[in-house]
Amino acid sequence: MHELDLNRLNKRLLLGGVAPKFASRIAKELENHIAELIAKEKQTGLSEQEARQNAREKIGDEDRIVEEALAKPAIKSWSFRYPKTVFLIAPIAIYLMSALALTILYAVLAFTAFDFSPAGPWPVWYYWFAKLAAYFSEYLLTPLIALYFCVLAINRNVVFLWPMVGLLLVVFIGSGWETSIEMPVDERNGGMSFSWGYAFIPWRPVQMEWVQSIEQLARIAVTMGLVYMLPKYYQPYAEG
Amino acid sequence: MSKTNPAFMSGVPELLVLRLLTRDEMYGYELVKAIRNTTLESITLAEGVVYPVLHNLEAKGMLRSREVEANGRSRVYYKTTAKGKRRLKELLKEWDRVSGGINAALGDTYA
Repeated sequence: MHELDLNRLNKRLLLGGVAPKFASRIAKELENHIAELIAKEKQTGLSEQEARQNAREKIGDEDRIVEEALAKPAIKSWSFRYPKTVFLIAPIAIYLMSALALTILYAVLAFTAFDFSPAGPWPVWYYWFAKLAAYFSEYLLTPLIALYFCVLAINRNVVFLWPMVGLLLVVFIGSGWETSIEMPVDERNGGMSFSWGYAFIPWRPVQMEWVQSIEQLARIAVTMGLVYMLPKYYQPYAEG
Repeated sequence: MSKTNPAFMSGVPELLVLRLLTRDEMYGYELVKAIRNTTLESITLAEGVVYPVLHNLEAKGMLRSREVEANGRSRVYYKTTAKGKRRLKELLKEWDRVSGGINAALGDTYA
């Protein structure tokens, strides 16, 4: 049995899978409720300490409030209620949608950059945009998605099984995903084309593409290393 | 075959909350007082327990809420939605069925 402590209550609700929005609202509404109870108790002539004690008794035991909240699936977070959807499907969907969005952005900006008549050298800003976007999608997108879902899993206190499976899939897809953009050679020759592709590691050595294989493995290792290290340093519910 | 009555006791707070918030918009503290007064103090909840009940009903779309600043404090007022009113009708029907059955049984015993 615990006397009510609002910070501890908030933490216990989050650890039990209650959505942060509801956990913080329960704590905030209880705080106002207690303040109102204390004010009413003081009006009856009680001292501050007596009023506070009576208010605590009326509000009830913390364990009872936690038990009542945890018994209500509707106020639990999505990641707690649907871990497979959130940690398995969402990261892959987000990765693919981001890759698609970047490709579309490439295309739209290409039309702007070349004013519908692509020829000659690329404008400097488009050159830099293309370069940065390529680096972003190749080297940053996967680790960012992996870290985001890893932080989410830690914050929601979700068992790491589905997050790990989901992140492994994203990392494998992300490390082999390739977007290529072909620009026209000159005013008369060639057209603009965008293509997506996937090169899985085992096929690359067969095709003698050792450098890409090693790079792909290194990207997987770096991202999974980040995912492995994060829980050691990011512990939002650690005591003290 | 007769229906089971899972909502008999566990549905009581839900029934009272929906009933009272159908009549008036209230915030947590007011609602607890209203429960105490309207049940002639026969039902006294640990007051903190009312919030998980309110949020659960809100998450299910049976209540809507709005935050209002009053006397330097923020209060969240709740009101029953159309979906909540439909649920209330179901719960009242269930309550009538169960309490009617219990009254009939007690009537036999104490007659």
